Amino acid sequence: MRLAKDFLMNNSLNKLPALEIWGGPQDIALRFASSAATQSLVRFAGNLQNVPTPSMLTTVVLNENKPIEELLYDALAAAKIYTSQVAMHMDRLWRDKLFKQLDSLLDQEEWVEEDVPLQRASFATFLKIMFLFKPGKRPGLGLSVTGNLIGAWTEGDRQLTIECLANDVVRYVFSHPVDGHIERTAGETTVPRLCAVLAPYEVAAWLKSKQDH
Amino acid sequence: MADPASNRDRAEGKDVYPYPPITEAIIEIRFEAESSDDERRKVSGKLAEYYPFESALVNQEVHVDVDKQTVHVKPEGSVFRRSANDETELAVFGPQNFLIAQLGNYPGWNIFFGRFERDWALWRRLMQFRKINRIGVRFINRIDVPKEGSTARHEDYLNVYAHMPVEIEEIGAYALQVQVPLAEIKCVGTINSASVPSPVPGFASFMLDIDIGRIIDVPQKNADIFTVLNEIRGVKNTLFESSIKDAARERFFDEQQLK
Repeated sequence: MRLAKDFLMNNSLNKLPALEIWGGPQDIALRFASSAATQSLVRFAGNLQNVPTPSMLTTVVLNENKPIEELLYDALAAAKIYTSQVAMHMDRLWRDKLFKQLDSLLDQEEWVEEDVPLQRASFATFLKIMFLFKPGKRPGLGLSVTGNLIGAWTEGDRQLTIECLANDVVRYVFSHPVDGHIERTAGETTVPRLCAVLAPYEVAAWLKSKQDH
Repeated sequence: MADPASNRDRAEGKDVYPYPPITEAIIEIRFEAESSDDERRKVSGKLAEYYPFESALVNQEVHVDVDKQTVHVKPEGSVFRRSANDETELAVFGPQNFLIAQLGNYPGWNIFFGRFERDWALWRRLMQFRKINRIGVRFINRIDVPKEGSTARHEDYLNVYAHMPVEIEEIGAYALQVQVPLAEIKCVGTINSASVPSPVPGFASFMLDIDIGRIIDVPQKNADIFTVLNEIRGVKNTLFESSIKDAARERFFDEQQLK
């Protein structure tokens, strides 16, 4: 006998936290057509999914003109805290090296005032790509002017560059030699589709075969 | 799949699983009376050696009178949050709270508890005696399991989940909370189990959040506090192990890591 039902995790549902919609700001019926007791019950149920913890305590941005050192610290801290949430999927050494790359990328001494610090949503997309490919060699990292993380692998004439946007969206450029020419392909897709999109070029095997030195 | 007892046996004798699913561990002491901002700032400053970064979070209670169109702002005690270089070791001091937290990778109870003892000793030395009205331990786990197609069967991994009637064949999300009286240690346990969006492609994730607190006969002496916290930790482990199945434990030995 089955004890419980399958847990449906299709893509559309995965992007919509169901309990957030129910009782959320858009739930007009709840706000204006229910009793205070019902609203209290719904808030209680909603809180089950959102119990605050120390890692959630972050500085509230009251002034958008924060000094750049604070913006950089906030961006770095957000990336490291996010990493801690998926730390069970990476070796300590891999994590430590990643943190060194991030420290260097967001180094105040090297920072250009007009640039936008690393965006947390972009970093989350980046880590998903790492989990997807499990590359043998970590990418070189850079930042776009809008704060998106860019990862790049290069070997001879072969190069893959991926810009990580929010919400699992990626832009990629892949170049490789074909019959004496450098062939380039570029596009925009989502993390779940990336492997399939790059499959004709055997990118996954190429990344896996490379080794960190 | 390994036999039902094997993974539990593999973890026995070790302080932690090789890749524990813990995303956050917390030890918290709550006090009857509030401390002042200056007192907490002083303690926070003394811990800068271990936690270089400090954020002072200012709490303000705001009352808006729509009829009179007035706004009253009442300052409340600040919360001082300190963090280590890698942001995974935290110490937080609220008006009535002292807590330390550990984000992933969780290094094991001995190291975590050692940090608590160190920081608590400094707190006590600077703040003198304050009556404690609650001590507690909370461990938040996220168990990531590979999807089979577009689904993941949470009942294959968990023993605490939303049990549905046969007429409901699929569910999109769930969240549940149960409170468990723990008479032998005079505590109450709270277990939250919920589906959460997975940060890993191709996986589904389930949160298992276990909080155990004591508000009656709360120990006041250090030795007694430490004893109770260790008892709570033991019961927490029992609750955790009984809340999961061996297929979940298998995940905590997974060698398919980023290396």
